[in-house]
Amino acid sequence: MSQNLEVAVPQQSHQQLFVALYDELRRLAQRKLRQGGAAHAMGATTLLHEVYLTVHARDGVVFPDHARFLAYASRAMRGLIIDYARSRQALKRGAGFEITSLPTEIPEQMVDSSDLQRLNDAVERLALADARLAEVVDLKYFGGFSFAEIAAMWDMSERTVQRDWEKARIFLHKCLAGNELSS
Amino acid sequence: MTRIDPGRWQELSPLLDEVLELAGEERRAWLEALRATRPEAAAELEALLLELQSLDAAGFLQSDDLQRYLRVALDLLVTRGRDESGT
Repeated sequence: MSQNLEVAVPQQSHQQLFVALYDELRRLAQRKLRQGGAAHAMGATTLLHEVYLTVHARDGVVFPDHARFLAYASRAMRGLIIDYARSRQALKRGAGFEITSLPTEIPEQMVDSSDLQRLNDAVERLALADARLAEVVDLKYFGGFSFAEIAAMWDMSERTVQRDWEKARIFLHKCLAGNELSS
Repeated sequence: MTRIDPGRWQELSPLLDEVLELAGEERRAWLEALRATRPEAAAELEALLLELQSLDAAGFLQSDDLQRYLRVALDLLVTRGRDESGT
């Protein structure tokens, strides 16, 4: 299938695509494990690229462009991390599970799911105020992409992406510090 | 401390773009020029720039903790997938 069949994603299907991406991330992680490697060994960025190739090859079309896909996938990674934090928090509260069966190599200060939830809420607020800045946060912080990679994706200068990142951090910090009130 | 609502952000954002490209004396001069016509915006920008300095010093969102966390989250995906498939 060499011809370009890429089409724009209808607005109403964004949620479905998000769910599909999330699901695909999980499938790919399982596949990697079966192949004998830990899923995490490949890193978030490689994982997201592979998910793109898989979804693209299987379904033919999905996203108008690679960059758009990676932005969504990075957002899915954010959801995944929040889910993980919640699960771990539930286990820590003493549910009758074998806690040692879950990985524990996490810095304690990052374990608090309420902190991550607040960060998540702040990113959602940022998305309302400035969608591109929120995408930079998802790509950089949750997707693990470098400034240079994001700049290449968006065909803009690396300095512009860096500046967006600086602005995003200011906005997020104000949210987290309780210094802002959005309507 | 300044509050930022989305409308205010739209106003400050392009100014931040400009001022973040400047450093030292150039930045000071730019802020002074802005202060002459829009003193409130200049004061807000100064506060935001100071805040950014403190964020840099504190390493806000700059550590690799999240990437470590992400790797663990990926392991959880595998664990869950196994449970769901009954293997």
